Formats: sequence, structure tokens, C-alpha cells
Amino acid sequence: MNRLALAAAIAVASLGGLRSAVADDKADCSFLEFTATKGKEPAIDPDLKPLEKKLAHSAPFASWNTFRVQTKLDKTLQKSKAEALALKTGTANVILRERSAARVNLGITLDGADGKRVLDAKPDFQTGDWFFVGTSTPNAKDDGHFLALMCK
Amino acid sequence: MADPKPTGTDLELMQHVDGELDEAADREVELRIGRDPDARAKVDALGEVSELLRGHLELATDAVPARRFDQIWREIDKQLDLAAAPAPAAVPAERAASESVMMVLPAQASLWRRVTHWLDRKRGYVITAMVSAGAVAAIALVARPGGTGAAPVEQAVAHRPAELEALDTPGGTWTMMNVSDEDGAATVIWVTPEDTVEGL
Repeated sequence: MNRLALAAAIAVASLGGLRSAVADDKADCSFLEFTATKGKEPAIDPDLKPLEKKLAHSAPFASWNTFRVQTKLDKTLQKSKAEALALKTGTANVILRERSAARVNLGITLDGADGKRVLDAKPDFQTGDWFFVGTSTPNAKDDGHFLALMCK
Repeated sequence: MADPKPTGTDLELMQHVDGELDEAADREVELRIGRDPDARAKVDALGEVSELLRGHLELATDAVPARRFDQIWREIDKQLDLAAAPAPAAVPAERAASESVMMVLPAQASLWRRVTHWLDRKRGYVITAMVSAGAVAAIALVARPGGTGAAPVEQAVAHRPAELEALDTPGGTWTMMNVSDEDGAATVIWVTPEDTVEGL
């Protein structure tokens, strides 16, 4: 019985250590700013290859067939430290609010080229999943402007 | 007045009862018992006393818990170790006190011997702890974020789509879409500006 209690204590202590090990205070995130337009021939930027199936077949992307990357960034986000993203169109700020082994909780703001706030969101999503925010471009209402991000 | 001390013959009777006589002597005693009613009475009485004593000892043995036997064997082992070891040098009292945990072995016993002795005594705990630690280490290696084994663990955990704690789109309305295919899941927030007549 004592042996069982000792083993349980070790397991709990070790799992506590594991929990603290995975509940990291940082996240490695990839950001892709891209445009979506309708062209004569479908074209997807090589940097968007990992998203090709989604862009080709899923809403809202299926409305367009040409996708061009404007900005590509990789950043390690530190918890509670805001990072400004210099985009080709407008600006974005992102902050890591919480993270666990499986999920990240971010704060994201997206401002248009005119400086007006487009979006202020606090999403919580699975690590390895892509999260997109998009809107129509001011000068061409039928075109899309997206910021995609994924964290590990 | 009869001599209270056992005579040589009485001693033989006792040895007969205890089965300690050789064959010839035993036969002689049996012949004497056959002839002498007094000797027969003594043998019967000795037999009853022996039976009583044996029964009492068996009961006392049954009453000792198994772990007491373990302790007794450990004490015997300890004595054997001490007997086998060279005579201990004088150990200061404070050192002896500080080494009380190791005092099972002589003070000058080698460190390796002390460690192995301690491990031997705590073998069960050590093995259990090592197995537990190994299992936890394996989980930690597989589950660490960004590690090569992260994907299988995350796949094993039920996937939850993105959740929005807060969302504000000052210049328009928003729509949330969840997309999933063999490449993984994604969430799209589409903001439709207010001045857009037709949304998606």
C-alpha cells in the first residue's frame, strides 16, 4: 500500500512537471498575408501549397481561383508580449494570451490601409490549425485580402 | 525419601520419549517399561508434558506475523554481515548519529556496499519509482510541443474547433466558417464591410 502511495505521488509530481513543460510561455507562429482574386487560370502561390485543398474547395476561398502571398512571416510569440506585423496592406498586432500543449489563445487586431480597425478578436484554437481573417479589398470589392496564421 | 534428581534410568526414559536413544538402548528401555509399571507411568507423564509444550510452541509460532519472520531474517543477515566484516574502527558519536540510516552496516563499509544494501532493502520502491518515472518520461517525450511525436498525441485527443472569446468588427459584420480536410482544420473569419451591398 505504501509502495502504491509512493508510486502515485511520483506520478502526480511528474505529471505536474509535464504539465508545466508543455504549458509553455511561447508559441512559434507562421503568418501569411495573401490576396484572393478571380483570374483566367487558377494560380496558387507555392507558399500557399499547404493550404491548396482548402483554397480550392472550401468557402469562402472557392469564390476565387488566384491566390498570391503578399507577406510571409515566422515569429516566436512570447506570452503577453504584443508583436506588430508589417503587412503589405494595413497592419496587424498579435499577442499570445495563453497556451497549452494543444491550443493557443491569441489576441489579434487587424487595421486596414486607411488605419481603420477592421477586426479585434480573441480566438482560441488548436495548435497546427490555420486561422484566417479576411475582408474585401477597399479598391476591388470582389477581391479578398487575408491574413492566415498557424501556431505550434 | 526418594531422590528428586533424575537417575540414570530416568534420564534414559526422557531420552526415550524424545527419541534420542540408539536402537539397542531404546529396546532395553522398552523392555523395562514393559516390566516396570512405575517406569510406564513416568514415560506417560513425560509424553503428556512434551505434547503440551509442543502445542504451546506451535500456537506461539502461529501468532507471530510473517513480517516478524522477515525482520528476524534481516537481523540474522545483519549479524552475518557484521561477523563477516573486519572489526570496526572507532567511530565518533556524532558521525555514528549522522549515519544512523546506514548503521545496518559497519561504518567503514564501502559506499558501493552501503548503496547496494540500501537498494536491496528498498528494491520494491526503487523499481516502482523507476517504472513510473520511465512512463512519465515517455509521455513527456511524445507529448512535448513541436516534438516529432506531437502529432500522434494531438490526433488522439479529440479535435476542438476554434472558439472566439471576443470578436469586434467596427466597420462591418462578420461570419465564421470552419473548414476541414485531410490536411487539417481551419477557421475563417470573414469581415464584410458595412458599405458592401452584397456579402459573400
